[in-house]
Amino acid sequence: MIAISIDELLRPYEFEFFRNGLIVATVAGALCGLIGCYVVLRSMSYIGHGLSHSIFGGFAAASLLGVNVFLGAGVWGLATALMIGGITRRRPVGSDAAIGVVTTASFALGLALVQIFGTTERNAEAALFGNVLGVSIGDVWLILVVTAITVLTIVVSYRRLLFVTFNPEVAEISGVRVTLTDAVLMLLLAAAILVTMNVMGVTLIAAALVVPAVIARLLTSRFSTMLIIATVIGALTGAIGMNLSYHLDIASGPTIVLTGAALFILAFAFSGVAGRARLRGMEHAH
Amino acid sequence: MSAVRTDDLTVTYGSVLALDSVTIEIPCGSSVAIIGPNGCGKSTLLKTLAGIITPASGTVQVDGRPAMVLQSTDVDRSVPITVRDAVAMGRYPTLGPLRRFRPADWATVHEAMTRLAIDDLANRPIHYLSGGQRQRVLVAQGLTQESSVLLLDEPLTGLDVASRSIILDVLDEEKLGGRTTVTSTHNFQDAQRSDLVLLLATHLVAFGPADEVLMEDQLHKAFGGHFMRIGSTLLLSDPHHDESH
Repeated sequence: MIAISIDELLRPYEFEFFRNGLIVATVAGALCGLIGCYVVLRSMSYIGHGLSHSIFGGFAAASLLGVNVFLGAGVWGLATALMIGGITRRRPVGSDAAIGVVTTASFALGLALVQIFGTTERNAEAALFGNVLGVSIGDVWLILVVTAITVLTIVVSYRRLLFVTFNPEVAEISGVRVTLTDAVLMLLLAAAILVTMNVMGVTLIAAALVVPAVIARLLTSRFSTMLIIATVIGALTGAIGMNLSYHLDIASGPTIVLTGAALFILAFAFSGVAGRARLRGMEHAH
Repeated sequence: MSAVRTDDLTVTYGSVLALDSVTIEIPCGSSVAIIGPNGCGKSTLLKTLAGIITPASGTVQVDGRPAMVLQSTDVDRSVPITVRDAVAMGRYPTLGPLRRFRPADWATVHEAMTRLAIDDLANRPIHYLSGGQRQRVLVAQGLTQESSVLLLDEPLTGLDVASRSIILDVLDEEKLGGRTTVTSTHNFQDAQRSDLVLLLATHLVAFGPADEVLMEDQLHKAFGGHFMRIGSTLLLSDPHHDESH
């Protein structure tokens, strides 16, 4: 009976598409967990949410034009990320409202284009909700490269990013180029969303960015430890979610997000008073 | 020799005039208090001296890169760092992105924590601190930068008695040690402790020793009727500022 169960559990690993999907989901979870720490601590969750929706517009436009979707959505995401960064800095209107307009309009454009013209390269439903079937070996290499660049950038910029996160004005006075640091963070975020889109789906990526970071914040009061915990939790969430996706026959995005939500409930329940005090610190900070 | 010098300094935010033709010269090693009503340009002047606001016209010269201490409410308490981590950030400009902390850097960090009486809190996460303790962390962070000019934006506003006293003592020691300090305040008594007082109302009302600047005719120009004298004590009656002085 146990042997049958283990066989059943291991069956998806026989398929190349699943192995590719599992690698991408695990690395994507780790990548989103790492970047998510900065997203959460800098109150950029809404930006992450909006940016992921916005990239769908680029996906649809690229698909329509017959351009490589990563290239098209990447350029689109880059432009949106820089636009959001500019709006957030200059605040010509409330930044939340501006982000809402830019990103929702882009998402709506994507939906309209898909409805009118359909998609040629990729499945729009996979882009929206995540689907393991959409993952190729090329996607695996792409996410590995993006993750390596992200980790390297965060290691080299660790002090700059921490200083800007803690106190941007003093960081700038101390010689940190805050605008450039913010732009780099936005680009990393856009790249992470882009390479995560296929397994998570643009509608659910925000959870992959936020949940591991919040769990890590529940468990530690040290920034470097938070980065490590969020990365590990993100990877675990991706791996467990992918397996559940196969066995429950549900799209990978929802299972990964629900796995993250379950881990959050566990962490919240077992982190005790200290964990809740850390979360209250986040609540009062902005 | 001057530590800070501005010439005809004007700053605007869009169409709003924040500083109007301010010309000052602050000698090295002196302590300066900037005082004036809310919105008079105190923070704008400090941030312009710090180099993060570009003037619309005029010039600013500062001896080296200044260190800046903001109010504790201006920092993000959600960031999971300890007191020691926050104070050690003051060494980042010296060390750059990758160079390791040397024993001398840690000695500077620990000396600053000891002087601000936060050495026993070194491993405590900053979100557990009181407002006064957090302000002392930021002053310690400013000291560790070892800049010749220290700019402080209302570092004493709303603090408990112990934190006020510790920070005031440290600022006195800095003055004795030859560091130039420029501090904005809403408190006449704090301003009187400084070598020089800069009375600001978008434009420069007066600049000089406290007993020459904090005169009723000058204060009227800056505050209108929003101050009073009881005996020898000046009191601010600023409707937008709820701290009693």
